[in-house]
Amino acid sequence: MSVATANSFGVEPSGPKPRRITPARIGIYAFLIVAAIFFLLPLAVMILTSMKSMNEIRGGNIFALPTQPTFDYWIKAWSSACTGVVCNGLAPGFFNSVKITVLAVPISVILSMINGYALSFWRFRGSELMFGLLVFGAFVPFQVLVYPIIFGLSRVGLFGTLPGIIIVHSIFGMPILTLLFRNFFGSLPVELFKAARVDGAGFWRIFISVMLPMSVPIAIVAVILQVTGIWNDFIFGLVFAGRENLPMTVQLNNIVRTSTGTVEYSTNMAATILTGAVPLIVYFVSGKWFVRGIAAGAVKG
Amino acid sequence: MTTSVQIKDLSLNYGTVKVLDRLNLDIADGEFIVLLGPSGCGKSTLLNCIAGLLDVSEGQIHISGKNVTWEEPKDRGIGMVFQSYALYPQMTVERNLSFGLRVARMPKAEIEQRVKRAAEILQIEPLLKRKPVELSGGQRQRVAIGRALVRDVDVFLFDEPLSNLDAKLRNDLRVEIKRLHQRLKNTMIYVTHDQIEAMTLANRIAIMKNGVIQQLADPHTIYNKPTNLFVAGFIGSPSMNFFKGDLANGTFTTSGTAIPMGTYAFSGTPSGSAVLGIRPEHVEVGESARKMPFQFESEIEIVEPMGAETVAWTKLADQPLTLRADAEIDLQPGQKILVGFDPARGSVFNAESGNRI
Repeated sequence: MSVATANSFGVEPSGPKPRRITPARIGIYAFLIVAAIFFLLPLAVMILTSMKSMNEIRGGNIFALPTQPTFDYWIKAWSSACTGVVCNGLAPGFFNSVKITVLAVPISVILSMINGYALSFWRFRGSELMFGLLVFGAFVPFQVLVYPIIFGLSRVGLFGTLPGIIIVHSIFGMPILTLLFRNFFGSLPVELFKAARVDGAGFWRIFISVMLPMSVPIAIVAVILQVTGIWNDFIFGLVFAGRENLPMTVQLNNIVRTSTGTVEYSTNMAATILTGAVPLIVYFVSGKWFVRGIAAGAVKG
Repeated sequence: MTTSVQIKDLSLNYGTVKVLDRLNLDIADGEFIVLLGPSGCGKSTLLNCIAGLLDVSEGQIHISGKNVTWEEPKDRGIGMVFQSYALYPQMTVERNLSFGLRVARMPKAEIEQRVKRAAEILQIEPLLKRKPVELSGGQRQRVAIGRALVRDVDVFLFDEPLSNLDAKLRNDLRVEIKRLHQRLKNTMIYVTHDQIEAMTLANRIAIMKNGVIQQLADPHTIYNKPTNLFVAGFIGSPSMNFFKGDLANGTFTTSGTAIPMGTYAFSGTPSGSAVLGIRPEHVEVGESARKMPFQFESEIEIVEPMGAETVAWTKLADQPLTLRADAEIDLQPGQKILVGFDPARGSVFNAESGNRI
């Protein structure tokens, strides 16, 4: 037997190496499958429970399929569940959240983009300090700032109003988004900026004609981060939005915690899924962008 | 000849670090000046100062007779070509070329005409509708040159424009730039660390080190009469051979070997500690060495055939000596051979100051 064929395949090596299923590979797949089941189980239980009647919930086990699936509780959660004394369901909260998100996201993204651009290319005396302060803002626990902001907003008559909550969200989104945009602009060749200056373009012309078209991918990432962040917010909405503009998360809390009569699990589950649906859809639709956003947020400061 | 660019006592400091140190440079109209030096010597910084992309700490910059020290880049009458091309990735070639003109709100017809002319000169007409990603490196650099061309500027600034290209393209585009200069007759300032580019393109080369111009002269003078040890060692590949020794009565002595300097044009009658520099291509071997004023027997240590020539390592007075020989001469390691050179073609430097004597 020649040396060349003295291997575990029993043939002379030629062309692509045969792939073998190794124990390590089986282990990886087994772990991934178990992990997927573990994380999907709560969602499955929620969906199943939301489609069961109360009798069925009391009698059966939580993993059992509904015998008579119904969407009645979803409809109830959306339009007639009681939040305290009012019984309008989640719908008003949904539209409040949409209003807040649609207005606050563009403001914070555009401002942060301009910030990041200016801090990357138009260095001025103290621009590094400015950036440092902004990044520091990302690490200040916002609970500390709640009372000072209440005080400030009341002074200008914006406490408990829609503009008030939008301003709060825009400001709190800025540190992390500015960091995101500055890192993105910092990764662009500075020669591009120099070339545009030699071509005679100024601050806004370079921003609009050269930088903006290049930053579409990172802007999408910023929008995703900001949409999910604002949608999932509870404390700002509770404190600053005011009675008329309570976001969906606060409404959900009110529905789930309403303690008159029996606890209607099906309605609570349906309401929770409805509230979580928006970020969930954003994650699913944006897939790779979202992952990129997480990675971009993790890059060097 | 009128001066095109004049730099007066220009300094640039970052804190206590002096990047440019009271630099003076006069560039004639239509001249091709190459700023050459190792990385960190301040050559790109100087170019950025001329372009107006960096604020200077002291001194003045005049372009076409106007003091532009405080002017914006666009008002200086300059066009700039960058190493990374710096094309606007979202715009077509045509939009890239016309961007500066559109910013200046030039009439459409004029823009069209200028873009057409530039595209014709650079032979990029078929590429006008393409985006930069769809171009090769050489094509991108042509577009970048075109962007400077359409603006009809007095002075072209090149910041290592060929460094990102492969060797063959670099040669082609180098010739192209030379042709462009001969056709347009604009003043061109060209930064590079590649001495071949410097030697082939320049009317005059400014060799820089630590923010100071070491020597400003035509390529022939730079090559044959380097003003100091730095310039002598920087220019030439393989680099110049240096021997430390003493100079007395027109004879250079190194490690006991006396080399009569013959007709070497000394400035004055220097003596004392000195360094003798001999270019490898001025060293002859075999038969042709017999005609040389200074000859010695030596052993070949390493042979590197380059195709057009052969580079060999040997020793003179126990110090290494490189030589370039005709490829036809058969050299073998260990071979004893006659080596000779004319000391008058060499360069002698003061050992302390490093300056030519």
